[in-house]
Amino acid sequence: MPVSKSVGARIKRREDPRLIQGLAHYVDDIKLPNLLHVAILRSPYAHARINGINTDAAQNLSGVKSVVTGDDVKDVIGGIPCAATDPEGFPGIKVPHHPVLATGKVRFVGEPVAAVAATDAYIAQDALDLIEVDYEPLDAINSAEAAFADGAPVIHEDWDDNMAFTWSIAGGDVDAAFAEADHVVSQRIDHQRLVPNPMETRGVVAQYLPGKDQLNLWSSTQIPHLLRTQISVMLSMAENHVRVIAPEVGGGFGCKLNVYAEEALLGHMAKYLGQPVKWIEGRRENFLHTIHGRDQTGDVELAVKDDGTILGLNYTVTADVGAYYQLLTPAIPTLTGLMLCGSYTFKNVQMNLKAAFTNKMATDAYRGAGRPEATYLIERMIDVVAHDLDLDPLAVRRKNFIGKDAFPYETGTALAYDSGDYTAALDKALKIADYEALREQQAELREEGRYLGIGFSTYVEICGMGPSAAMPAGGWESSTVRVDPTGKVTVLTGVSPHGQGQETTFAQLIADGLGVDIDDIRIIHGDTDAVQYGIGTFGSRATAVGGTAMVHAMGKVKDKVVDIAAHLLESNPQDIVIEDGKYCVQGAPESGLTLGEIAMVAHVGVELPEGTEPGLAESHFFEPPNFTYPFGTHIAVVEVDADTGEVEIERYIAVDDCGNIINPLIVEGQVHGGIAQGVGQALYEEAIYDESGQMITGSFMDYALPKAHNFPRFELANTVTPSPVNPMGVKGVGEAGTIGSTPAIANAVIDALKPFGVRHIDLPLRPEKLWKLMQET
Amino acid sequence: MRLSGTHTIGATVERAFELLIDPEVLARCMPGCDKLEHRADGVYDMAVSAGIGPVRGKYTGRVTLSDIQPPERYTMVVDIKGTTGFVKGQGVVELAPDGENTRISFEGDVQIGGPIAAVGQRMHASAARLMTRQLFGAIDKEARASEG
Repeated sequence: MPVSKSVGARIKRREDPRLIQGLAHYVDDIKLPNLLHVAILRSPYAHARINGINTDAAQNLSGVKSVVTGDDVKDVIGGIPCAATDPEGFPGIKVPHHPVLATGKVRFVGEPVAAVAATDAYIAQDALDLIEVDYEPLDAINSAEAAFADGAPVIHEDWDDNMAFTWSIAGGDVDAAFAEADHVVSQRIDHQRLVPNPMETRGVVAQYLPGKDQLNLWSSTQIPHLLRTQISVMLSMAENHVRVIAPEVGGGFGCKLNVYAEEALLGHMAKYLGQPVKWIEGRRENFLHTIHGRDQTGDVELAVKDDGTILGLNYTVTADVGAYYQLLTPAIPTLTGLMLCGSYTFKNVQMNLKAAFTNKMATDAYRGAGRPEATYLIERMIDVVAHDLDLDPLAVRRKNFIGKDAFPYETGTALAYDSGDYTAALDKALKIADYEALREQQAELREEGRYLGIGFSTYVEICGMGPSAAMPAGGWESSTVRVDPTGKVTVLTGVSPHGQGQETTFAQLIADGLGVDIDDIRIIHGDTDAVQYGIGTFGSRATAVGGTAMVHAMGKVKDKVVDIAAHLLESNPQDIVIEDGKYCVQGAPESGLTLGEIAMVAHVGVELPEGTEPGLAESHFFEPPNFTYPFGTHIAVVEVDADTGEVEIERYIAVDDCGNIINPLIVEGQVHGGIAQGVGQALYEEAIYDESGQMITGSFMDYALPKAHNFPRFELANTVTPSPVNPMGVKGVGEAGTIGSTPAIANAVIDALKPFGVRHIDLPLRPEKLWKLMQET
Repeated sequence: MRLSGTHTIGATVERAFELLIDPEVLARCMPGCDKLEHRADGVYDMAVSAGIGPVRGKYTGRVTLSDIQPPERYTMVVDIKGTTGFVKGQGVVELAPDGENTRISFEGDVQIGGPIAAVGQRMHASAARLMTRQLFGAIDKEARASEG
């Protein structure tokens, strides 16, 4: 796609002035008359029977309007939905009822037990202290291993064990690959549980208008339309009487791609109390009761030839999915299975997954969602193969890369990689890094007892989600483009953003496409009463799918504009061009018409060509024919301090290929944040539950997020391999940084510790772990 | 969480034992103790205020002494809960003469749950050590004061 005026330019985000001046409106900024504040009582036990709840004292506290428990709402609010429970896909899947407030039993620390609505948030919080719950503690399960142990307590008593579901995928002939192999390289690999931690926690405001029988629900969500559908089902309301609004959303990373108890609970409370209600999630609540990510442990085996050629892969894995399913819980590990072959040619692949119920919060989509597990696994294993066979990890990668002429490339897991040139990205990254010099520097420093490490990740990921046939809840996207009589352009998009910058990138596409000033374009999203149905922003899909829907709608508008212009200019549509912001006959811009002039004609309706409808608005629903597959090479250069075990990131080079780029600033921003989150997994973050099922990393004092001072200035570059899947040739870049960076850092740290004979270390690579390893040898 | 330690009290074993199971003394000496009332044989109702970092709260519940073998040992079970979580513990306290003083050793298991468990977990052990040191230090003071 050629850089014309806007597309491809480093345009500052149009969203940022309001964000940095405190002028944005988040859920907590919604103020309504007679607003009640809701606080949620949460289980302090991981697993316990509820023998009784006494709410009398709380009810009697001055200012308390209402206290509700599970028994009060169990018949009026349906269960929290899960969209991925098809027994054909997940043989033997158990789908437990997931109540909005616990009844009979609590199954994880933080599970909602009761809710208080009061005239202010402090009274509501104080009232929680007055609710007496008679718990009978039961033994808790804090790992998949414990869940499957003989005699383990059963979390859902409708069944007799804790096996949640199984899933498997197989391609090629794995047995033959292992029979043919010169070596079988094995490793147990752990993907620790993580907390997504968006800057804005969740929050809900609900208002019921009895005269219209209408529920207005403001929620910090990535999926306003899917939420509207689910809320209408949970509350037995007609869907066209429910309006969901996602106002400014301060980050999500997948954790707001969900339907939560509080959303339905507040909708219900607003209706039965006849007053609007607000609940803003506290940070400690967020740790306990907003979905977690990852949490897989598995054994991987690679069938390898002497020269490093990989013949096949076998992955046997357990996933700890927590006590209940959230919206997509079972689907997440399936993305791991699909991407196990990475950027490599082997097609004999197999994954067998067992998922366990445990007394923890549910896992679900967290930035990368299943793909970071696959990429970390294969990229880490490439280095283990190199270690075991005494080969260069780069040589192993090059030996197994899918060649650039092989696309579209069908993988052993039946995906069709759209386009790629993995060698080009690697070569570019090596050049930026000055790789040979780095290896020399590493050798010199080792002489001095200093441990520099260089790590690679030559990732490929799946995004632009995706064809509806492959998605649990629709994979298409929608847009309406309309031109007002004065020529201002309004875009409605189904991809409600939470920090991705659609108001900028989408406007860039319109500015070039319709020949209007970017300031004359407004992007509307997140209000189900304003926007036609859409799916939402996740899976790095907003531009590739939502942007494409908009470009198609814009194309229809433009065809009409050109028809009208040709009619007015007494010319033919094929002779009309845009020059200097005017629609004109080629070579005659002085007699051209602005979009505003044409739009006015369209709305006045008297000078239109015969048979042309008045007005100027078009919609398009786009169904993508395939996923997109961004790729790239990340190189991390780290030094491990021999005295403290601390890891210092000296350099970080990322060459990402996300297809054509609409706004390099936004791409870089996504890559920066993505790398930071991937580094968090590699070095710092871990959600830990103790043996009694208490989450002992439930604050920022105990859960280490990476901070700005942990990073050098990133060295970023791109290669551009357009995607054939959409007309813009874009792929998506929201998750690439997270997917690519974790293995690069891990491989760099383990490379640094090569003199100590280290082959593999599980994440996170904390100083104490590394220091102990260095002391042992 | 395992909890163990030793402390020395400036009193005979008999006197130290008396002090240790005297609810009035314990109520005075236990950090944050708002109430300790005898309910039945070896059973006391307790209310304490305690906190770690930002998580502070009031806890109420029961302390039960059993297997009482004066002046050598007893078993103590604590089961308290409050707005910021719960604490459950069980331990054995042993007394032995140490010259003119008494050496107290204790060993037990403590389970902490709810909001207090999620914050400052790495500080729980040191906070518990600090509180037991304060408790036994105060009892030591009482012993020396009642002698003088």
